[in-house]
Order: sequence, then structure tokens, then C-alpha cells
Amino acid sequence: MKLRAERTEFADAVSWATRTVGARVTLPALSGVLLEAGEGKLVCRATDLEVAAEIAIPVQIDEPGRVLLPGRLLAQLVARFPDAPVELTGESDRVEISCGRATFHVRGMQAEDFPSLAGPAEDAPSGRLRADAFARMVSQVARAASTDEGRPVLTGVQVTAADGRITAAATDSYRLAVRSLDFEDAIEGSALVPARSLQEAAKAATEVGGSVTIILEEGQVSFLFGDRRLTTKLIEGSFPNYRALLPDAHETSVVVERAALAEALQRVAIVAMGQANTPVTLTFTDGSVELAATNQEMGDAAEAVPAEIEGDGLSIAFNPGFLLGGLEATGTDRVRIELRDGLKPAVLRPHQDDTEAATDDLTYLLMPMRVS
Amino acid sequence: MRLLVTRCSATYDGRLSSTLSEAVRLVMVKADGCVAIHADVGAYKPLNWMNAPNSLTDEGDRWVVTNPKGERLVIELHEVLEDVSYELDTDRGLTLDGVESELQALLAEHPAHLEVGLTCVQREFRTDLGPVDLLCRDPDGGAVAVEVKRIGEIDGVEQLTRYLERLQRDPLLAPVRGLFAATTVRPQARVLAESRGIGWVEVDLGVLRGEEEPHPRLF
Repeated sequence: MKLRAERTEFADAVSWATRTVGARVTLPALSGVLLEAGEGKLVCRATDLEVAAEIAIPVQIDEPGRVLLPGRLLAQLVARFPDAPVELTGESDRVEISCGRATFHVRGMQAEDFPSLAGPAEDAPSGRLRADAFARMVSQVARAASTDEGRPVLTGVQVTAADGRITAAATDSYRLAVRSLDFEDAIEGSALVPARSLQEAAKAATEVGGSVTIILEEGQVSFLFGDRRLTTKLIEGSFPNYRALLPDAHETSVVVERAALAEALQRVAIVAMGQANTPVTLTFTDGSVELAATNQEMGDAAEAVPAEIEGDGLSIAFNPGFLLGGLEATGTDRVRIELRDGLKPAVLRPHQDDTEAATDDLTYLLMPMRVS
Repeated sequence: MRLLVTRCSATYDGRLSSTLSEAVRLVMVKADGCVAIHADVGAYKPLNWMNAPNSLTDEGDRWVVTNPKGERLVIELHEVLEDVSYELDTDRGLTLDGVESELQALLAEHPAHLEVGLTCVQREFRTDLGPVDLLCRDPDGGAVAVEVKRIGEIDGVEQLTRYLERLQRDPLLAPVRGLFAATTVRPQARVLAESRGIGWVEVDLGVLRGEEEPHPRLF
């Protein structure tokens, strides 16, 4: 193999492939990045058998070929190269990489050992979304997914495509985030996608921009962004029927400035910190919401924020981290909180005073805590 | 309870003979007369012990424990590092977790732990082969018969199969789905349940009681 690549493109490609796949290596070949040069482009591939990342960049090829090089080492090297074209020469057992006056010889691995993972089928139906809207949806929803591998289905985001819309839902059983979005080109189907993979896909969508193509297949889903592709295996098992959890009515509705509430919450939560499961209590009364936290060792804190309240006043306690997550997810200047009573789940939604203005179709359901 | 931390050696004569060479050990004399010599290893099991009834003769630096069966344990106390006595509370007995009736009551109260959206219609729903633990309805209105066990084994699945067969005859209920719930469902019971189209679910008693869970869950 002999090729010449533009340094920034090459560095970005190697770094993206290695970073996207992560470091869960079970086979030596999985620590490698497969470089395949042919037809005027260099394709970089990495996989951990769960997620596969592929990126193609234009290069000048003198001799086509394929080599498997240690991913992290290569990424570290090229990140520090001077701003000059990068040249790769040689075969897997010894590859010469040079850039400016720097020359490295890297021992590669057998390219045949790199697992060949099936990409999406040519004729698989594909849906298309705006990349920025997709990334935003993922950032709003994936935060509610569980990190507890003991319940694998909850570490995923349930993605459902139907009636021209895509709906993403995630829950760790304490909270649930659901968001829908219109397709540009629609598909039908559903998939339980690992939250981490989806977050990587969202990151790539933000970097590349434009639109993202989604290909849903049996057992896997692929996301295509320009010359990048991320394919991930799906989580087996059935996601809870979350629609049954969404309340269809509320007794009290509160509209409050998001930043003011979030800041007050973070201040009051300082007292709650250090003691696991210390809730922050929100008391909704005439024209304000009072936040309070008590920690037997540290003391207590209280702060009031103006709020528009419709319905009866009430008190409800939340895990401050989960509430803050919900406030961040809504994204609007003002948020609406819908409540039934102090022990039933609350719903957070984005709020616009102008009823004509578009808001994200987001529902963030949050289970309150008991206060003794 | 008398506890002695002591550098000691011991000899036992009875069903067999054994000798413990000199070392620092814990000698425990219980109020009922049991004597046990513990090392810092071996979990609950003493190196040497004599079950009550015993008689203990304290000869200062030498204890002689004998019992009516003619067994004899002699402990030579070379150095006593600690000698304390406490009066312990009378035994309240061991309470085993996971009693089925408690599980049944908790699941009747929180059927969402069995399946999201499930509501409990009746506990101990009668069939002519005996009562099924819980009769529930799913969000679509379908009837679900639930059998609750502490440990889910094959015989529990068999039992639920029999109830289901009777319940399917009730036109007001049929079709009835089966759900087998236990804190642990054995692999064979899972296979049998699945082969018969019966669902199974493992429930966490601690979570159900809300003891380990100050933060209630959505489901």
C-alpha cells in the first residue's frame, strides 16, 4: 500500500473511528484500525463487535492495499503530526508513516483477523432526518437511559419509526424521556439502540451537519452521515410499554423560567449533595415555587423562584439530578411542569408563551421521591 | 456469652483425637454451655467445639470441658489477651425473607413490578383446582393469571398450567395469559414456562418493600 493523505482529514478520520468504537477490546485485532486504500479513497474501519465505525476520506493512491494498525497509537501519532501531508507505505507487518521530517515504522496486525461486519444491505429501506434535529433529539432523550448493565433493555433508547415520524424513548425506571420528530424521508420499524452508540451517532451528526440517514435492519441499525457510517447491534429484549405510564391528565400546571429554576435547584442541591438520595422539595404556592433541601449533617437550604401556577398548590420532592436533567432537556426559556399530587409522576415539557410557536414534542416524566 | 482472646493450645479426646498447637485464638463459651475455639479463618466453623450439655472446669490456666458422652476438651491458656462476658438477648429466631404471602400481597399492591400497565383484579382467585395467587388485567383488558413463588421451580409452572387450563374455560376471562413470578426463577422453570407460552418474571423483594428503594420507580 502506498498513499498520501491530507493530515487534518486523516487525523480526524482515525480519531473518529477509534473514539466512536471505544476501548472495550476482547480480541487484539479489535484494537486496530483497518485502513483500506482503493478507488481514490481511504476507508478507515474500527469495531468492538457491538459498534462498527467507518469513514472514507479522499487520498492520493499510488498502490492500493489494506493494513491493520493499532488504533490508539495511530490516533496519538497523527494528532501530533506537523501540518504536512501524511504518507503511508508498506504492508501490515511494517508500515512506514511519514509526515514532514518525521518518520515512524509501525508494526501492524494481520488484516485478515479484522472481523468483517455486515454493513447495511444495498436495498434496505432508509429514512432521513435533519442532522441537527436528530442530534438534539438524542441529547434530550438518551440522558434518561440507565447505565445499569443489570437491566440491559433500559440501557437502550427505543426508536420507533411510524407515520412519517421517529420517536425516541429512554427510561432508567425513575424517569422517562420521549421525543418525536418528523422524517424528511420516512421509514417504518422499531429498534432498541444502545444509548452510547446513539450518542456517538448524535455527536457525528453535529460534526458533519446536513442530514443523517437511518437504516433499520434485523438486529442492527446504521447511521450514515456523508462519508461516515456507524452501525450498531441492537439490544435484545422488549422495552417497557412506556405509553401506559404517560398520564393523561393533571391537576396543577406550573410555568417557570427554566434558567432561574435550574440555578436555584443547583444551589439548593449543594446541601443535598454528599448524602445519596437526598431529595429537593418543591412547594408550589401563590406565584412562586419554593425549593428546599435538608441534610442532617450539613444543614438546610431554601430558595424561591417566581412561577405561574394553575390549579391547587402542592409539595413534591425530586432527585435534584434527575430534575435538572429534565430542565436541561426541555431547551426552552420557560418550562411547564404538570402535576397530579406529591406522589405521582410529574411531567416536564418545553413551553412557549406564543401558542403558535413551535416547541419540541418532548415529554420528560419524573417519579417523585418519598420524603420522610 | 464469654469471649476469651487467648494464646492457647488444646487437645480433644472423644470420637477421635485432635490437637491444636499453641496460637492466638478466640474461645467462645455460650450461655447454654457450648464451647468453641475459633481461628481468624474458616467462616462460622470453629476449629474445635463441644456442644451442650457440657461441664466446664476452670483450673486457672487450664480449662477442662467434658460431656456425658465421655468427650473431653482440654484448653491450655498460655496467655489471656482479652476476657469479656456479655449477656445477650434471648433468641428471637431467624426470619426468612421472601415469604410467599408477603410477596403476593406486595405484588397485588404493585402489579407494575410484574409487567408495566398491569392492574390486579383479585388475590386468591378461585378455580376448582384451588386459588390462583393473582388475577390481573393488562392495559388491553386481557386477563393474566399470576402464580407467585419464593423460588420458581418446575412444579410451580405445572401448578400454573393446571389453573390456566381451568381458567380458559371461563368465557368471561378467556383467553387468559399466565405469568410466573418469583424472586428467582430456575432455568428449567424458565424453559418449561416459555415452552408453554407462560411468561416469567423475577421480582426483587427488597425493591417491592421499598426498603432498599427510597426513590420509587415509574414501573
